[in-house]
Amino acid sequence: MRNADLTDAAERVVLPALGGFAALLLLVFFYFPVAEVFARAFDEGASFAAVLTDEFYVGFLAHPGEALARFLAFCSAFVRNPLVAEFPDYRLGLFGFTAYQAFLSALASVALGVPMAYVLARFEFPGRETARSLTALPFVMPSIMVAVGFIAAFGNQGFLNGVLTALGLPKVELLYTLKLIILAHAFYNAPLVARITAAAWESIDTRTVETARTLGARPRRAFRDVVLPQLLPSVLTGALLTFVFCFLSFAIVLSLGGLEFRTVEVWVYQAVNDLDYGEAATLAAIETAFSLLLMYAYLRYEARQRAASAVHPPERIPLFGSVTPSRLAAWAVCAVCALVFVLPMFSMVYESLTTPVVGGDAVTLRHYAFLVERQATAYSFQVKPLTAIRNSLLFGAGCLAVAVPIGIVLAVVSTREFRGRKVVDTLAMAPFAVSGIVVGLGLLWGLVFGTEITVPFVGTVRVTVSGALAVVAAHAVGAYPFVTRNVAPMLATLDRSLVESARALGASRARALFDIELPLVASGVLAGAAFAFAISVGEFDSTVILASGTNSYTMPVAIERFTGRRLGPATAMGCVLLAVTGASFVAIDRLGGHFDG
Amino acid sequence: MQRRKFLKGAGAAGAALVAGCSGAPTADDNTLQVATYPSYVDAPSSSAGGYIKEQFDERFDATLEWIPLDGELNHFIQRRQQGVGIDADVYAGIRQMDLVRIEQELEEPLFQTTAPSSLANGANLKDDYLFDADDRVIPTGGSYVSLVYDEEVVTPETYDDIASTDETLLLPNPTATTTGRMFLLMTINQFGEDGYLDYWDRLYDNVTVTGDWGAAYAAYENEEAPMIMSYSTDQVYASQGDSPMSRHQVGFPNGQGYSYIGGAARFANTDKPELANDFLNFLLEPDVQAEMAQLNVGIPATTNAALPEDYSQYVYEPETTVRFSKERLAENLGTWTTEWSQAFASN
Repeated sequence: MRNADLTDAAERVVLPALGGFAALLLLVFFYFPVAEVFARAFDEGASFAAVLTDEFYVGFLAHPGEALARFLAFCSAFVRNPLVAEFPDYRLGLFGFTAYQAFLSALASVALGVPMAYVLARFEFPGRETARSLTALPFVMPSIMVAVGFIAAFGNQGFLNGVLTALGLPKVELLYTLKLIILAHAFYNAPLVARITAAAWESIDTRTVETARTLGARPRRAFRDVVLPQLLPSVLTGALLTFVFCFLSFAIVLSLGGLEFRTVEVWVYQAVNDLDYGEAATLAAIETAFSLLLMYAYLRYEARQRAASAVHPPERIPLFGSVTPSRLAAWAVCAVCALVFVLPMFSMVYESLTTPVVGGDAVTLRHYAFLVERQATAYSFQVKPLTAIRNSLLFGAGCLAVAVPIGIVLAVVSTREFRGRKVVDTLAMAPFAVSGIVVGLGLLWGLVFGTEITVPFVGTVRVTVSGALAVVAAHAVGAYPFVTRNVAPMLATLDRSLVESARALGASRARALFDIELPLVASGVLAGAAFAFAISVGEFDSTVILASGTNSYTMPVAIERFTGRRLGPATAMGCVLLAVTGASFVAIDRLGGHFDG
Repeated sequence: MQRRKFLKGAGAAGAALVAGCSGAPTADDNTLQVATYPSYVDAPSSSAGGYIKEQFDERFDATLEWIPLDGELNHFIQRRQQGVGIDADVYAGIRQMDLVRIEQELEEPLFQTTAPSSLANGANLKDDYLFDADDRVIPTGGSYVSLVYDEEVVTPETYDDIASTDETLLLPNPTATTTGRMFLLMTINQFGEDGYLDYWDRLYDNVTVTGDWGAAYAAYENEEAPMIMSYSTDQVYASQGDSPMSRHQVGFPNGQGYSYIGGAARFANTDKPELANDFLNFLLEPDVQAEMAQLNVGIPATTNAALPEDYSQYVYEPETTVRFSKERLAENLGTWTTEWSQAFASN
């Protein structure tokens, strides 16, 4: 009996305990550092008024009266002669452009991601499980690697243009254009959209579709009216996350964009490098306010999508077989994926195995040999590949261990009814909405430099936090929102009565969660876990700060260290990153699969 | 069953992963802590860090501890601004632009004075390498910012050649990167404060301004453009690989190159000023200067460095060295950068 008592007690405590732990983690590793940056910066003088009225930042919104007048003039000209009237050339400003490219990127990611989800969820083909596991792979690639891969694949002298020229077709000029930036953003984010949507697609109730069909609805109508509403929340989650990530995008824009395509975050980065904290904080605060507002609006929408349904996944069709319209569509999707995902990664692998010589490229293992040599002969203050790999894996596992439970608990909280629920939910999503540079800076000031606290009877003590555990905590803070965003929409559509029955039969809330709800949202948990691991492996800004001067560097830090005038060493390390992470994803998925039933 | 156990275990593990606190690192009496930027000691091609440590440890009864920081000098400026102590003794890899920034950001100096005359080897320093009039930084080596181009496509010899050719110049952002900024200063030096924007007007069509130097060089390696603003020591790297030399021609427009000198200095509050002094003097030894120049790929700061005969084959120096004084930069660099940004954006 005592055992059962202990288990009962533990179960009653575990959810609130996890919630408390989550709050503490967020406080120390996110809210405190960010508050420190904003506080100091506003001390130095932030100038919201100056920024919001500067045409450089807000474009035509800086002079609303004039903009309106021009629009009215256009309207009257249009009424008089529609063919001649010219729409006024409004300047978007820095914020406007950032939002514009984020919107296009979200559109592109959805346009690419939803068809990918269709293939993953509805078709059967050898290696499907592996393909699904590897969807998070683009997410871990450091931006310098994406830049190298994209330049090699899509540059004017790249693979794509080489093939087009060989076929006698005209070249496409993509380098230093907005199109390439959006393509790179889609490279990063379409897999996210695909994974979230596929998880939802695999959890819909096909009986409702069958019912619709028996009632006379044609397949397309049935899809539009029955399946689509069940998918829409997940698609929109993916679109929203993509928008926010691309809104805060900086590294890709820095590498692949010309000067005209700077985003707000690039400006923040420059301001921080110039130690101009006032300006950096002003811009970051506006960014954050906008992102949080967007998230809040979305979460309110998501809350209204509560539709109770049971999970009855659709059957899968073999991908290879007789030609049908749906198969043709699937093959087309595969071809596009090969172009957008496989080509850049293949280019990266190619760069790591070749070196430019007179007349072309020669195959060489020299870059990998460098990694081996560095591992064997490095000094203590130099970065070693194996240590980086080991750290990345350890931190990734640690991050999973922390982020998954926290993410699930917060997903449960978000599906409960209480006042201000959506505000709490939005605040829990805050790590996504704040500039990574500001968080990094806050971690440096608040944790690495340390904070003085007054301890009674001892006096003031400077507490510093850095090293391995700090890195894991920072990763977990950045990763748990993924788990929440993957799990919450699915939790929200679960039948309430399942949980209520369990509680009525005596199960604690925790028991009901573990035994009933989680298995039903397992694919969401798994997707969230995969991305949480990906976030941890690919994280750079916070890691490089917290690991500074210690041996806690990870693979992205190693790649950055190996970046030099010759790209070989960095690309070789990048391929190692891809291989190690790919294997980890497959392992996570297989492990997760054991818990599925 | 398994699932529940796993979740319990995971929850417990998560609860146990509370961040650890650590005290500030303490060094023992005979360790000299030298901070620097990462590529000074940890570059993929070659760096002088290991050699310097081995030699210093051998010649002195002390241990050298390198502290590579991605935050570079900004890390210490921020520590000083926040009133947090600085543990390092020396910083290696200080450039003139850093001094300008330190002066703008801090009231109390970050480094203490080390007059070249107080060092035994100080007399061998090249006169024009002494870029710190306040005698805090001892120069240890340098290079030049110059054009690197593909001689089979273009042969730019003057600024006008660069502007009038049909080919593209890859230029890392002049407001944020070293190479870009120095090219901007070169044009200001050549065309004057009133005329340089006209030159940039002409240049606008064939320059691609990239966000950072790494991506620009990646594009250059992929033959996306035949010209890039880089360093005059480019051929040293090229010769280490098999890259065709024709793509790594060093060019000085109008015979000019911007002088890029790095040095080392003692932190103001170091508790080992004499050992630090010994270290600075050690860096100026002829054999150390020679090795540093070869490993860090640059030009020695002293006149008597024991360089091998064939070293100068790949190291180019311009006829005219462009350099701006610290005072002129402190006064004007901000204005010039803003002017340039606005002119460029409105084009």
